[in-house]
Amino acid sequence: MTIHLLARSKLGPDRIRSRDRDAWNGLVAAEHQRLFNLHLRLCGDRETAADLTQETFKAAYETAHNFAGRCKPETWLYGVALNISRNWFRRQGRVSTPEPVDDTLPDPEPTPEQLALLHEQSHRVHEAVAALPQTYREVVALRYFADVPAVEIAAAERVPAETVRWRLHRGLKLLWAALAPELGKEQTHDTAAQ
Amino acid sequence: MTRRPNDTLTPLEETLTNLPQEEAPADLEDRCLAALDAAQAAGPAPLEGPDAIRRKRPVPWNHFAIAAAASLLIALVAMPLLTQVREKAPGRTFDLYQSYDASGPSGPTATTRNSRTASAPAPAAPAQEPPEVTFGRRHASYQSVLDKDRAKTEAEETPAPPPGGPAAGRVVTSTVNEGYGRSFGQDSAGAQRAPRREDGQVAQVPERKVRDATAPPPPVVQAGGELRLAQTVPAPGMPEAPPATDAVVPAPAEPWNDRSGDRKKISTRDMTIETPNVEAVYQQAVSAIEKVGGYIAHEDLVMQDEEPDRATIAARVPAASFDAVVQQLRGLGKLVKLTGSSEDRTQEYQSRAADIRALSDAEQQMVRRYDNASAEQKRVLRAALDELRHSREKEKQALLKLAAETSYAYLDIAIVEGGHFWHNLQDKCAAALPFAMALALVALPFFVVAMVWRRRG
Repeated sequence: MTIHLLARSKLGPDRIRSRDRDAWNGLVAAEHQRLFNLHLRLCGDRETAADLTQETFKAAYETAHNFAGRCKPETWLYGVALNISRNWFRRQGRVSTPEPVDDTLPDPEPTPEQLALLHEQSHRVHEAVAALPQTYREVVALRYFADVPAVEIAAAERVPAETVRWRLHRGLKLLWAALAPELGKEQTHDTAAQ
Repeated sequence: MTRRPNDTLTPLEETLTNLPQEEAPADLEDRCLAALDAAQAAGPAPLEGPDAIRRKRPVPWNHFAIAAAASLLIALVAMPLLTQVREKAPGRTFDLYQSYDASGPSGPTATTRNSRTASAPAPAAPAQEPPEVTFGRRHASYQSVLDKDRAKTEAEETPAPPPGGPAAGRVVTSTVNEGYGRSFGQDSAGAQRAPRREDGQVAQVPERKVRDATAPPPPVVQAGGELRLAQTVPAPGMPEAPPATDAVVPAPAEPWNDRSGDRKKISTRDMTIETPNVEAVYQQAVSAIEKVGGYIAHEDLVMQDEEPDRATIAARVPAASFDAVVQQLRGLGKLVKLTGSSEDRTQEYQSRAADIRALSDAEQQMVRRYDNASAEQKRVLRAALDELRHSREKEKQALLKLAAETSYAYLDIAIVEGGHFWHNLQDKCAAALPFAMALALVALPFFVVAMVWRRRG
C-alpha cells in the first residue's frame, strides 16, 4: 500500500505522456488489480480478464502521447480498458443485451437479508452485471467494482456527469430486477430449510 | 486493495461496492510490465510533453482564423491607402482628343512641347505671379504689340455707328465659335471685362476702343462668323514692332511679314481640379489667367446646399504663357483630369504669308507697268489688280484668323469639390468592403471545418 501510494504521488500527465518507465511501473502496480476486476465483471472469465488487463496496459503505453492530461491517468486508463473490452466483445461476436423498453421498474429496496445474501453470493451479482446492456454494464462495473467516481467516468467517456448518474440509476434498477427474484427464492428456500 | 472513501450510497450500492474483490493472478503484474517492455521495444521514441499532442494532431483552425482575420484587415485598411498612393504617383499620362480646328484639317495631330511637359512629373507650383518675359521675342513681341496696338487704335477715328442705332451696338459674347466648337453663352454677371461691340464697318475694329486695359480683345466676329479687319490696322494680338529693349527682338508688324520662324500652334487644355474650397480655387484660377493677359470667355460657379460645389471656366490664354498658367493651375488642387491637344499650323501659316508676299510683289509690278501702259493695257491691268487684291485680301483674312488662334490657347477648367481625406477614405473603404466580405465568405467554411475537426479530434 505504501508503495502504491508513493507511486501514485509521482504520476503526472507529462510523465505518462513521455512514457516514463518508473511512472508506468507505478501505474501498473497501483491499478492492475482494479483493472482485472473491471474486466472480470465485464467479460466473466478470469483468464480473459487477465489477458485484457495486459492488453489494456500495452495499448495505453503505445498511445500515451494521446493523453491530453484533461483527467487523471487512472481515469484515462479506464477509458482505454473500456475500449479494449468493447473490441473483445466485437471479436467474440457477442451481441449486447438489448435495452429493455419498460421504464417502470421499481427502485431497488433490498432487505438486510437480501443484502447479506448478495455479499455471500457475489458470483450472482457478477453474472447479473455481465448480463446487463453494454451501456449500463460499463458504468456499473466502473463505479462499483473499479471504484471510479461518476465524475471521472464522465471524463473518461466524454459524456456529461448527469448522463453517467442516470445510467447508474437505470443500471441498478435493471440489476435489482434481475437479482431480486433469485434472492427471493433463496430466502424462501432458507426459510423452508430452517 | 485500496478503496476510496464512499460517497452517500444506497444500501445496494454500498453492498456492491463492498463485494469481495477477486484476487488477480499472482503473475499479472509481471505480465503487464512485460507487455510494457515489448511495447517500448517495438514502439516509436517517446515524445516530450504536450508537443507530442500538437505534432500528432495539429490544429489548423488557428491558422485559418488568423489568415481570415489578416485578410480582412488588409482589405479594409491597405486597399484604400494603396489607392490614394497610386493616384498621387507621378507620371500620369493624359489622353489626347481631337483638336479644335477652325479652318485647318480636322483630327488630332502629334503634340510636341505641350505633351512632353505634361508627361513629366510636375511638382506643385506655389501660387505666384505669372512669369516675366522668358519666352524670348515671341512673348515680348506679342505683349508689346498689344500695348502698341491698343494705343494706336485709341487714337483712330471712331467708326460710324451701325445704321439705325446708337453707338452702343450689340454686345458680342462669342468669339471664333466655329473654331472652338461650343457656345460660350453670356458673360457672367459682374464681369469686369468691357463689352465687345459689333462693328458694322469693314475697315475698323471698334471693339478696341472699349477694350479692357488689362486684357487684349479677341478678334471681332460678326453674325456671319467672318473675320473683318482693316487692311492697314493690324488685328489684335498681331505682332508689331516691339519697343527697343535688351530682351526683345523686333518682330514684323504684319503676320505675312513674319519671318521669325516661330512655331504656330493651336493648343487646348481641359483640366479638372478637385479641391475642398471650390470658390477660392476659382478666384485663384481667374486671377492667374488674367495676370498673364488672358481672358475669361465663359464662367460658371454653382454652390448649393447638399450638393458638391463646382465651377467651370472657359478661358483663352496667350500662347506664350499657356504652359506656365497650366502649371500654376495644377498646383491649386488635386488634378483629377488633364487632357489636351496641340495642332501645329506653322506650315500653313508660312505658306499663306509667302503667298501674300508674292501677291504684293505682283501688285507692285502691275502698278509700275500701269503708268507706262496704254489705255487698253490699263483696262486689263485694272481688272488684274482687282482680282489680285481680292485674292490677297482673302489670304490676309485667313492668315489673320490663324494668327489670332495661334496667339491664344484654349483652356477649359472644371473645379469640383472633393479631396477631403476622411471622405476619400470612407469612399475607398466602401469600395473595398465587397472584397472583404467575399474574402470572409471564402474563409468562413475553412474556419467551420477546422472547428468541427478540432472538436471531433
